[in-house]
Amino acid sequence: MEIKSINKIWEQQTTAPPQFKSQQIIKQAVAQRRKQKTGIAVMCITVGVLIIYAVWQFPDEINMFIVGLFIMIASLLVRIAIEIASNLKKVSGMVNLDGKQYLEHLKRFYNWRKRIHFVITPICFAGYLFGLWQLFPYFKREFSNGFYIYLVASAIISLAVIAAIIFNQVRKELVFLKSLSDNKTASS
Amino acid sequence: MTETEFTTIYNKLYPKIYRLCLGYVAGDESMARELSQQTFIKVWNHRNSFNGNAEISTWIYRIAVNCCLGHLKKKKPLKLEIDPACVDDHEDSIENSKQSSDIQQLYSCIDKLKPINKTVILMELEEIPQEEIAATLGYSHGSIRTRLSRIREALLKCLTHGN
Repeated sequence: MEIKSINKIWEQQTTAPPQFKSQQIIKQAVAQRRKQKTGIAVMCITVGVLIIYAVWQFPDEINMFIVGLFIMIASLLVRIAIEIASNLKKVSGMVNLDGKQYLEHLKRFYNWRKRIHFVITPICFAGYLFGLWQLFPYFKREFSNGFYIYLVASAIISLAVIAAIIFNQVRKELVFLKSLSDNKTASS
Repeated sequence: MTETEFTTIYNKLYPKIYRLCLGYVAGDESMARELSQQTFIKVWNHRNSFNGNAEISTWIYRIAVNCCLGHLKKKKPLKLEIDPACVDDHEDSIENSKQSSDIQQLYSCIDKLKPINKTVILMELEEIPQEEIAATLGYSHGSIRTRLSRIREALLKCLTHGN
């Protein structure tokens, strides 16, 4: 086989026409930007409302229900904020760096993500669990036994699903990071 | 960049970007479409980041290459096996099956390369000038030339002996 035959094989490919027209791509781009901005705005408003509520109400009405609720929401917000920051960090490198620099950026990025996964995520998850645990006595007191059992069961199931999703994502990122690190020493 | 300029660039570069992504994800068409789409979405959203130091095509190839380098999704398994029962006696069908098998084998061989080498050979196959490949990937022209000759050898070996 000759070198020319590689080009010949490559030329045999049929190229599918673009799935979208350029105007549709622009629309999608605008929608994606809007979605990002809305997400950040919603998070900022939520944090603002929580702070205002805490300042006004906490001294008079502090109880474990409110504390639990705050810990749950705070854990979620911290994790969501990290995800948004991660996404922005990854995309900024994608647009501004050449391929060689971007590979280095990816290695640093996924090493940083590894620290997030092994330190921050377990803290957030534990915080969320602790907060939820504080709510159960109130649920038990306020709701019927059947509904209480339903709440406990659905909390366990949804937490298990979230844990599985996190585990899968972490595993995928670690495999990717390993492939990037192996790539440094591989010969071809 | 105006909408008209974007449309012109999109229509001109989409086929090359698509095929580059297609080669990168070992022939997974839906993934290649998604990566090409993401490339042009980023081009539009970050059009103000383009400072004019390089050709606009180089900047877009960089985004496409980086989209490919950073994508985490699992590739679908390659369909290398062709069921002989499905191939009828018609000469065209045999020829098409042969072509399909060749291209799948080429995808498979390209997939064995390091990520940077994958992009080098895919850009070369798309007849993108070597200077532009060098600028896109951040290597010198000489380095790209040396890499290309090694990659071609590795590909030929893989296509001939299957490793």
